[in-house]
Amino acid sequence: MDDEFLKNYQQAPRPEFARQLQDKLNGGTNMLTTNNVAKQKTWRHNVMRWSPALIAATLVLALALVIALPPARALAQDFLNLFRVKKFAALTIDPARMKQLDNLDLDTEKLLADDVEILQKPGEPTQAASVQEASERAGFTVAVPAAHSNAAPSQILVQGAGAFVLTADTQKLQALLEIAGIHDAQVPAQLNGAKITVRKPAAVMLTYKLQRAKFTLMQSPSPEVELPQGVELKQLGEIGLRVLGLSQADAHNFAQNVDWSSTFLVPIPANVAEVRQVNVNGAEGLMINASATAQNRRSPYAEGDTLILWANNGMVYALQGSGAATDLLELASSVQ
Amino acid sequence: MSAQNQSLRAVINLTTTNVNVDWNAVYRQELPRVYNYFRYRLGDDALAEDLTSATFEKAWRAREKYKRDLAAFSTWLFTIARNVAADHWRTHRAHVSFDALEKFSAPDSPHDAYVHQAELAQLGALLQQLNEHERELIALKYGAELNNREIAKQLGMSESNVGTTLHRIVNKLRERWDSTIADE
Repeated sequence: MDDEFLKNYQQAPRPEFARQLQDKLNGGTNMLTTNNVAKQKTWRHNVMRWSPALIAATLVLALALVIALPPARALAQDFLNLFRVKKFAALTIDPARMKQLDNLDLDTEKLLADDVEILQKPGEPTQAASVQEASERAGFTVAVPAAHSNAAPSQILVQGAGAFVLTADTQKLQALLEIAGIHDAQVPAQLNGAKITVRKPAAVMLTYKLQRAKFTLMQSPSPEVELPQGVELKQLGEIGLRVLGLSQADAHNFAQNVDWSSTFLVPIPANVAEVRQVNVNGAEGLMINASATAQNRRSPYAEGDTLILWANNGMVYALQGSGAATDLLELASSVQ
Repeated sequence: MSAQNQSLRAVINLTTTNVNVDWNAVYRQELPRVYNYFRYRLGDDALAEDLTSATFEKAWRAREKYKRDLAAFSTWLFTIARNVAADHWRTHRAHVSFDALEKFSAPDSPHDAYVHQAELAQLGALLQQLNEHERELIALKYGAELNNREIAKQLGMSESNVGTTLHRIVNKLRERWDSTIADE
């Protein structure tokens, strides 16, 4: 036990609490009385865990648990959705860069609205009465953790499949890069007019609230992205890395060493999470703990949650819980 | 001067006559320190939020008078925080104490007590076993990250006495920690 260990007991105030108190001090309308802070906290935890927005997305959105800055999240998703997911890899990025992207306040969805054609809307997630029903509706056999195969999930949600086509406009994309402060990267000219089709299959989210275990398992067939011939994934990936703050040289080197056709890159701000590679039933996965690092005690990301991401046999899985890392890993390995 | 106060001075220009204070920056700087002071002191997150709110509300109402003496702002803020804590102890002592102990002594579920969290919970439990004065010192040192000189000023002790006492408390915590580990 030393000074550093004693400081480890620190944790960052909840962002909502910090924001609401600041609003109150500034005379804003979003008042928070001291008596309802605890209620707000409970409410906030519920939102974090059960928000339809969280449920609505595919496993890609599970990453938002780690990347909490909306524009950066959007950029990350736009970027990451270009890949078929066979394995996950972490990319540690500078939190200052995430803040920069956040401050840009880019509404990428709106900016690209004219370029996106929705082929299939996923709709709102809906509850299923049983795992079997969820399997039927999702179109795949829903896996459950063997350790709790006899326990009924407290909630089963099914998110429908979605698909869209993005018609690339190099001029607009180049302008976006400029706005993001990237002045020395060129969007490939051959990308102009290219149609990129993104298909997100149905996803199922099982929530267990057992006496000794509380966790959420999300699963979905891997998102599929159809790219026209001539579009260099590596080139696009390198540009994405630049957006995420890597230098030209680093982005180039990194891009050369990634299998862009199958690697789901997870950008993680350096001060918000501890990441390690794990083996989940022979599959390479990532374990992300959002509050394990000492540096994190001053960050606004003080969640105690652990997220395990892995892919296996064409399926991608995300297991989120607040229990012991070893227990969660064991739980992940028992999913079948 | 602690790193925090140096940082605070960085966001507050003390050299100009008409000081432009970025109170939002001050808030961002001080909030985690006040919040963690209460967490170490009382061992309850929700309560720490309540008392942090109360502290800032009191401080914010009168903050303008510190425009020309902002070096003292942090000291003043923690004086308010300590008074808020003392008021709370006077009226809720049994309740808080019980809740905190219950919370920190209950990491019995494998899922609720993975290694890091279990260690922190154990530390939380040990902190709650300290007497009030000891806990106050630990909260100011490790929660608020005040330096010994600042703590001395807060508690009316000499700086050397603060250092000696903290050393003794940390040793006590260490012994209890080792003893707990040995028992397991």
